[in-house]
Formats: sequence, structure tokens, C-alpha cells
Amino acid sequence: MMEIKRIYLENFLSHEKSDIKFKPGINVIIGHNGAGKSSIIDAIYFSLFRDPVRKINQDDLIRKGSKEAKVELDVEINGKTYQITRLIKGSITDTISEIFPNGYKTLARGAKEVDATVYKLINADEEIFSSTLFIAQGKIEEIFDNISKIMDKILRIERMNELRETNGPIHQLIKEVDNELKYLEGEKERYKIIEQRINDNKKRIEEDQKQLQEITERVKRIQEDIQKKKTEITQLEDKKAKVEALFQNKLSIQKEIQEIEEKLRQLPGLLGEKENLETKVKDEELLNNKLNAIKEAKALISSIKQTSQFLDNLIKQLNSKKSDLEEKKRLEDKERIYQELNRKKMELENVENEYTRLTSILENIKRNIEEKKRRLSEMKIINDEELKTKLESLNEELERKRKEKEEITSKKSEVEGEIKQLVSIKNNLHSLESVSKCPVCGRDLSAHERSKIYQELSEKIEQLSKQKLELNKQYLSLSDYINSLQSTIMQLQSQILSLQKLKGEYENLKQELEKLEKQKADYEEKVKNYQPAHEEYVRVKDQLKELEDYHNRYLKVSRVSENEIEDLEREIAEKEKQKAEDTEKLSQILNEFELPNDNKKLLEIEKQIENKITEIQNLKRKLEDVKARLAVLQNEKLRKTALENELKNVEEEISTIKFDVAYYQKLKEEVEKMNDEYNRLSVEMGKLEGEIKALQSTIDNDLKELEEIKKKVEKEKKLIDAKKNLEGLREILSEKKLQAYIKNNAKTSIENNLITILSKFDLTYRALELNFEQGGKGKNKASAIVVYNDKGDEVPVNALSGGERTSIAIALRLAIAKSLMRDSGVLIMDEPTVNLDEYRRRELIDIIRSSLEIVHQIILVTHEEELMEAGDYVLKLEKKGGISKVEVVSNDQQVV
Amino acid sequence: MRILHVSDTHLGKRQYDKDFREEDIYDTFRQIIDIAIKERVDAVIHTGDFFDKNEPPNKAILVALKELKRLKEKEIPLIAIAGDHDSPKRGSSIFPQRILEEEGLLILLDHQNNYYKLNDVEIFGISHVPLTGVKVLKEKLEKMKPSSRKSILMLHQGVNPLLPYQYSYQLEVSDLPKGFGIITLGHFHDRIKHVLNGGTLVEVAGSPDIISVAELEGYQKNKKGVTVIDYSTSEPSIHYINTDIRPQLEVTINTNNLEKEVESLIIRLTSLINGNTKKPILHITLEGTPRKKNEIVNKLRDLSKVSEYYRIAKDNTSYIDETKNNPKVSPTSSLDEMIMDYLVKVARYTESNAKLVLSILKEENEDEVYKLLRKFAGLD
Repeated sequence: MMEIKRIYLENFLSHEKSDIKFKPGINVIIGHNGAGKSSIIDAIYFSLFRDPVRKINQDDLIRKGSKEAKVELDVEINGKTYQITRLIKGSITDTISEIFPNGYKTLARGAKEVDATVYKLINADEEIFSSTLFIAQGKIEEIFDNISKIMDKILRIERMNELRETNGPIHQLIKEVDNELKYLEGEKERYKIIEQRINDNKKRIEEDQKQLQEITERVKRIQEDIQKKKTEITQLEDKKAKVEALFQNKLSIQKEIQEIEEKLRQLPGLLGEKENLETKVKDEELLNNKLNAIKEAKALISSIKQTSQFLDNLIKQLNSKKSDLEEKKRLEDKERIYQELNRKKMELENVENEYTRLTSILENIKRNIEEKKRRLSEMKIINDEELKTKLESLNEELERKRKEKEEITSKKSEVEGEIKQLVSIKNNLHSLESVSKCPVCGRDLSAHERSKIYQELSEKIEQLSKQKLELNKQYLSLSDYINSLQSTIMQLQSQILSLQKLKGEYENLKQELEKLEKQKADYEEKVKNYQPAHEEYVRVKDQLKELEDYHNRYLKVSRVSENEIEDLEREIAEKEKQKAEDTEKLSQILNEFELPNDNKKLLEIEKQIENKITEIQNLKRKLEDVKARLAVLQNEKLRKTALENELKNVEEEISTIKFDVAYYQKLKEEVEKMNDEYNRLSVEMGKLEGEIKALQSTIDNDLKELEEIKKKVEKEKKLIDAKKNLEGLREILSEKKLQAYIKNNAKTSIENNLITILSKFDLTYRALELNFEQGGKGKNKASAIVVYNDKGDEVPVNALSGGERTSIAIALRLAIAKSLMRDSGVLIMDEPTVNLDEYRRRELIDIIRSSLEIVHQIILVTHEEELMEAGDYVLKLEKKGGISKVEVVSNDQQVV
Repeated sequence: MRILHVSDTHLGKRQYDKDFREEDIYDTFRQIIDIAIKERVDAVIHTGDFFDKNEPPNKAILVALKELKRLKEKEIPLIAIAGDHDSPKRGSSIFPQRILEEEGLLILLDHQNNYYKLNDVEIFGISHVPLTGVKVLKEKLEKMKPSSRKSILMLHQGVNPLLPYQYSYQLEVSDLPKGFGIITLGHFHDRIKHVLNGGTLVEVAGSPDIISVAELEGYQKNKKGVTVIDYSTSEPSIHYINTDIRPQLEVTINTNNLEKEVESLIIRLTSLINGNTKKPILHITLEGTPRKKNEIVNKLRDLSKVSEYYRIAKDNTSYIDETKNNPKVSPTSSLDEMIMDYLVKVARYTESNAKLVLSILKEENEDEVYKLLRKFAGLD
């Protein structure tokens, strides 16, 4: 079963980007003409077959202004979901993929491969689909008119005939095979000719090879001779090279000896210079000793000075420490007393704290008592008896006035009643002018009497109104008075209340005061007990204050001790000893080098000596230089002797080697001649070998060709078989064989399906018969279907009612689909109600609904709102700004 | 407490577009009312497709009014839900049951009002919901919590795999709520009884008459009728009561022996009619070699004596002589399969050659045809 799940259109016809989902059941796509609803069907069709439904160019399917279009179809086939993507002019190729819950697998790429895969999946081609399940605008019944043509097409009968035709491909191929067989005869002839050529060429190769053999032997001999002579030449060339090398050596030695003799002429001058310099540098050591003595003397003078300063410092320290120690001894007694007092103070501190706490509580209580007394004195107590009596009398007054008010009220309503009655009588009198009866007593009245009564009534009403006004005034003043009385009473009541409250407060204060007096006495007693200890504490504190000064001074000197003074004295003695030693050493040095005991003069002498030493050092460096040059010349002398020996050896060696130049030249010429001969022979050999190779390749080619011809000839049997096969196929595809078989079987199957489907439409005939061979034209054309009515009479389909015809047409389409496609399931209808009247439309809706028992999804495109009621799922299409927009309209108000 | 479960009465259905079939359906409905009164049930529940169409013929409404009045006189209440056939297809329309409700003849449970208390038995019911509203339906079912097992749920839906009504089921068995003593279903026309995990009984009463040919098999096996649900204990028990409907038979006639076969069939049927008040409907399958249809139809006329109606339901006659070893085609073969059958079994082609011929027939590109032909001929 196939179900269309979703179609996506991108720049396809009037759609920019539309993503449309479908459901099982009846899907109605509704919209005005040109809203782009048929485009959705076009897209489904294009997705499946890559063919436009309408007869237009593929490129015209692209939305105006866009460069490429894309459609994407999600379709479920036997429980698996596939996605087919088709592109027009797109950069990507068509694909079909199987969709899994968590991914997809591409099954094919490229338009052709996708077509083939779709065909395999739905098991039907475009032809069957477009003649059955796909119903174009207003063409439901078209199937009756063209059934033989349609059946020929979808049963592929047409195709079979095309294949069989005299110009058809099978016949063409048979002709081709015949031509090929003729060609093979020619090839057989050619085979013989080539065989002869091969034999001739083989003979020529044999001759060439003999000649080649002879030349090769001669070349071998020459090569051996050349080799011998070349060995001799190599030996001679060795000797020649050795002699040449020795001559070179001899020349270079002689040159070097000459150079050394030139250098040795400088020797006597250098020796004189050396002696002169050596005498000049002898004084250096003496000067160095004196310089060292000066440096030592300078150090000693500075050390003595430092030691003296340090000593002065130490003596000052010693004196101060001695005086501190004396002070410490004087203060020690007073310090002891201070410590004693301090300890006592600490002992008393706890008691003192308790004393302070108690006194502070006591102060608090006293302050509290003062406050309460003050408040008591401020309170004034007024007697409330007087107020109560006044309240009582006021209440009585109020009661009286209220009664008075009631009386006035009742009097007022009496007057009002009377006025009302009189007014009504007066009105009656007025309205019933024609009636001449007294409205009060009923007796007859004259006009005069009536006017008199009218007059009297008016006067009486006026009088009563005045009385009413007076009463109102009294009533109002009485109300005011009552109100003021009420507010006075309320004020009095609240005064009495606050007085009672004040009284309660006064009593409370009195009680609290008594309690506080009692507490005060208690605390006074406690404080009295602590009084002596407190006095003692104050006394000790005063004494400590007096001693404070002495204590601080003692703290300053307390750290000085006798030991410290002894250590200081020992250090002074050591430093003085060191100073004496340094002075002694200094005078010794000064005497030895006859130097003055004066730092400035010493510095002057030091500078003179340093200058002299610098001068001597310069001379010393010159001396070193002269010595080095002398050493070099000494080496050159030794080198000269060695070279003279070497020269003698080389001359001896040259004389021992013997080399004959003439013999060497002769050998060389002989070898050259032999090489020329060798080259000549090589060229000849090359020629022969080339010729043999060429001959061999000709033979090889010929052999190959023979092989090929052999193969071709072998195909002869195959070709004969092929011819037989093709002729057989032509026979099988003929009307009497496969065509008849298919027609008969398809007919039976379709008829049976048709019967079943029609009974589901509640249309049943006794029997019915399909007629694929219509023959004739126009009215003479045989009916596609003949039904048998209840009486058993034949009725051609065209004689049936419109509703029946539509039913049979749809049933026939479904039956064909069911018979020829394994997986039908979707019925697609484009504007099926076009040209139908109201009654037929309603019939069609019923038929469509019944079709749901055969296919489980129907997609219906219409512009008629009425068809919405047939839909389980409704899509509305509108064109906005030239672009089609899709909106889903559910049809289940029941649930929503 | 005993309750009669009735479903799919399809009043107004005109099978084969025949008056007598419409009458048959009304008669079956009258029988059901008789059963309810005779059995003295406490109530009747109807699980949808009361009428065959949302706008039923006047006659159907009249029958319903008359019969339900009889029920009302006996003070037997009728609680109903609507089925897909009852459902209006446009928003402003209403269920035809509303007419009966207005007369006080039934209580219709719909999508808003889905609860009715019948003494100590709780009844929940939701009228048919199409596939597009399934989400809401499932939410409603999830919220349904009966207070005890003395409870009935009424639905008119396809339930997979219990009622796989074509492909158009809306619910899975697992979507059915727990806790009910019994779930009564309409929509599927065969009788089914099934126990869910958790002990809830699922009961399909089926249609009380044969509404479609597809029901013939179920009818032969289980008959047709209504179901009595007995709730006298805390768990429900059920038993069937059959309706007396017009028999429908599937018969086979061989065209090679047409006259004799028809005669023997007439004899067979005559004895059947004697024990039965209603003449049967015959669904004829033809076998043997094909003959002119009008010849066959003429001969079959004799069957009018023993049947109310007959029709050729299936023509299995074969144009190809079976003695020549031509294969019979299975009725489910696709065109490709037919072609393959012929090429392999008759023309004695190898499987691969047959497939080649098939692709040659489908190929439109001449170059491709040429290539395929060469391959078939054995040239490539």
C-alpha cells in the first residue's frame, strides 16, 4: 500500500516554498482557480515520474524569476518511508532515500536511477498510474472512450507491436546480424592471404641471421686484440706520470731554500738589540720592594687611628654605666614598698567592683522614686458624681424631646392626608365637569354650587398647607436640638470614662512607689557594709600615686649590673695593647726603607716609583719581541739543512726510472686503426638486427590478425543463434501469443475487481463484461463495458445514468490499478466535479467516500467549497502576491 | 443489571441499491427491539453507525422513531454514541441521533457530554473521532477513570490490531484506558471478544445484518446479532443473541456444465428455503471455460425462483486451455508478474532472458532497447 505523507515544493510553478503534509483518508485541496492547487498534484506526479502532467516544457515548471526548482516527496510504501527529491536545472542530482527514525539511506542518485527505483517500489509505470489512480480535470469517464487504446498502452500491447514492426528494433537487429554474417565470409578469404605472407617473412629472417653470425665472430677477435694493446699503453702511461711528478717536486724544493737564505741575513742586528735591552731592565725588583713597604705603612697608620677612636667610645660608655649603678642602689628601698602596695590594691579590686555596682543600682532606684513622685503630684483627681447626675438629667430631656417630635410627625401626616383628600376631590370636580353630582355626598350640583365648593376647597387647602409648613419648621428645630443633646451626652460619657481610667493609674503609681522605697532601704544597708573596704582601696591608690615617679626611674636603671662594667674594662685593655703593637711595627718599616712618617709624603714617593716601574715594563715587552724573532730564525736554519737532503734524494730517484716515448706513440696509433674497423662492423650488425626485428613484428601482427579473424568466425554460430532468438521473440510478442495471454488474464482480473468494487459502491449488476476490442468509430464504437440488469438484459455503459457511469468509471480505474499494480493505495483527482450539476456532485462525493474502502488515501483538488464536506483533512490554497500559500483547515468541529 | 449491546445498525442502507435490502435492515432493527423487550434488559447501549448516512432517508428516521417509542413505553433507556457514518461532514450539521434525543428516545453521549450513570453502573462514551482528532481523543481516554469495574466504555473507532478496519484505525490497543469492566466497540462488523491485560473485556457486537460482502466469512462462522452484558456480579459476563437475517451464500458454477450445475443448485436451495422464511442472496463464482455472458445470464435467470437476488461475484473462467499447459494467473498478479509467467512457463525462456524481455517492453529509449535486444539475442 502506498501513502503520500508530504510534498515540498520550492520555486515550483506558483509555489515559492510550500511544505504540505497529507493524511490517510480524504485530503481535499481547495482554492480558487489559479491559486496553485493543481501544482501540488503536478509536484507529486513530477516527484514520482520526473514528467510534467501538463504538456509543457520542464523548464516552465520553474517559478518565474527563479533559476531552479525542487520538489521533495515523502511516501510510505508497505510500511517503509521514502523520500524522493527532484530538481529542475538544479546543481544537485535527483535522489531517493529510505527514511529511518534516526537517519536515512540513499538508494539511488541521478534521474534515471531514481526513476528505476520508483518503478520497482510502486510496481507500476507512469502509464498505468496516469490512466487509473491519477484522474485529470473532468476526465473521469475518459476511460470508457479510449479503453482499448488505454489497455493497449498499459498492457504494453502497443509497445509489443512497435517492437515487432518491419521497421522495428527487432527486425533491424536481425538485419544487422545478417550483414555481420556476410562480412564474416570476406574475413575467411583474408585469413588465407595473411598465412602465406607469414611463411615468406620467416625464410628471410633465417638468411639474415646467418650473415649476422659471421660478423659477430670477426668483431670478437678485434675486440680481444684491442684489449691487449690497451693494457700495455696503460703501463707506459703510469711511468710517464711518475717522472713528471718528481721533476715538479725538485723545482719546489730549490725555490724554498732560496727563500730561507734571504731571511737569515737579519740575524746579527737582532742579537745586538737584545743585549742592550737586558741591561736596562735590571732595577725592577728593588723598586717593587720599596712600593710594598709604603703600602704596608699606609695601612698601619689608618688602623692606629681607628683603634684610638673606638677606645674613646668605650671609656665614655663605662663612665655612664657606673653612674646608673649607683642610682639603682639608691632607689631599691622605695621600689620594694611600691610592689607591696600594688599587690594590696589588686586584692581589694573585687570588693571595690561590687561596691560600685551596688551604689549605681541604688542611684537608679532613687531616680525612679523621684520620677514617680513627680507624676503623682501632677495628677488631679476630679469627682465624677457631679457629671453622672448631669448625664441623667440630659437623658431625661432627650426622651421628652423625642416624644414631642413623634407627636409633631403624626400631626403632620394627618394634615398631609387631609390635603391629599381635598386635592383629589378638587381634581374630580375639575375633571367631571359634565357630571353634576357632588363628589362628596353625591347629590346633584349646579354650576354655581360647584364653583363655590371649588373655592372653599382651595381656601381650606391653603390653610392646611400653611399649618403643614409651620409643623415642618417645628420638626426641624426639634431635630437639631435632639442632635445637639445627643452629642453633649456622648461627650459627657467619654469624660466619665477617661476619669475612671485616670483613677486606676493613680492607684497603681502609689503601689509601685511603696515597693521602690522598700528596695531603696535594702540597698542602702548593703552599701554600708562595703564602705570600710572602699575607703581602704582609695587610700592604697593614693599612696601608689605618690611612689609612681620613683618606680619609673627605677625601671630605667634596673638593667645595669657589675658584670657588665667588668666586661667593658677588659675590652678597653685589649684595644690599647693592639694600638701599641701597630705603632711599633710602623716605626720599624719606616726606618728600614728610610721613609718619612707622613702620609702625604708617602703618597708622593709611591707615585714616582710607580712611574719608573711602568717604563721598565715597556722595555721588557720589547725584549720579549726580539727574543721571539731570534727563535724563528733559528728554526729556519734547521729547515734549510733538511731540504738540501731531500733534493739529493729526488735527483737520485729520477735517474732510476726509464721511459721510452717513441714506442709509446707507435702503440697508440695501432689501437686507433683497430677501433675504426670495429665501428664499421657494429653498424653492419645493427642493420641486420633491425631488419630481423621488423620482419618479426610483421609476422606477429599477422598472427594477431589471424587470431582476430578466427574469433570473428567463431561468432558465426552465435550470430546464427541470435537471429533465431530474435525471430522467436518477434513471434512470442505477436497478437496470438503473449498479447492474447495478457489481455485475457488482465481482463478476467479487472472484471473480478470491478465486480467487487461496484458492490462496495452499492451498485450491483447481475453480471458485467469488459470489452477491450472496441473497433469502429463514433456511435459504432463498441461499448467498453456491458452490464446485465435485473432482467438479464444487456445495457451498454453509455445508456446508464450519469451517477452510475461515474461510479463505474472510478471503479474501473481502481480495478485496473488493483489488477496491474501490486501496491495501489492512493487516488488522486484534479477537479473531478467540473461540469457536474448539484445532484451529480453529491453522488460523486458518496462514490469518493466509498472508494476509501479500496484505496486508503484520496487526494482531491477542487475549487468548490461544497467538496470540503467530503474531506477528512482540508488544505486551503490562496495566492498572495503571486505566490501560493497553503493553510490547513481541520474538518472535525466535533472534536475541536 | 443486564444491558443489551447493539451496534452498526446502518438504518437506511440500500445494499445493491435494492428496496428489499433496505427493508431487511429495518426488519433486523425491529427484531432487536423485540429482543430487548423480551429479555427485559435494564438498558440498551448502541455503539454507533445507527444510520447509514448522516442524512438518512425519511423512512429510516420513521422506523427509528416508531421502534424506539416501543422501547420507551417499556421504560428501557437507550444510551448511544454516534459512528463515522452518523457523523456530519460539515461544521453546521448535526448527528441524526439528535432528532431521537429531542423526542426523549435516547441519550446521546458525544464529545462534550460523555458520562451517564445507570444505577450502580458507570457508562462512558465518546462518539466517533476521525484520525485528524486522534490526539484529543487519546487525551480524553487517558483522563477517564471509572470508580469501579462496574463500568462500561463505549467507542466507535478502529483499534489496531483488534479492529484493523482497512488501514483506517485511529487507536492502538495500548491506548484503551484501564479500569473498565468492559469496553464495547462499534465500527467493525464481525463479532469479537477479547480480554486485555488487566482483565478488561473488549466486546465488539458487530453489525446485526450483513452490510458488506466482506462480512460473509465472519457471518458463516459467528452469525449476526446483539450481545447481552450481565452485570449482576462485580465482573461482567456476556452472551450472544442472534438475529434472524436473510441468508447470503457464495456458490460456484462451472460454465462447462452450466445447465446441470444451475439445476442442482436450485434443488439444493429449494430445501433450504423450506426451513427459512427469507429467500437467500447468491454470490456466484464462475469457473471453467469462458462463455458468452448473455448465455450465462440467460441460464442463471432460473435462480430467481429460489433466491431473492443473485449476482456473478467472480469470474474465474480462463480463456487459455489448461490442457496446453498454460499457467493460471493468480488474481493478485501484477502485469509484470503475468508477463514473466508467460515468458518462463509458456515460452520457456530462462528467468534472466524473461527479465530482459520485460525491461525491453518498459524501455522507451531506442538506444537502450537496442542494447537490451542485443543482450537478449546473446550478442553482447
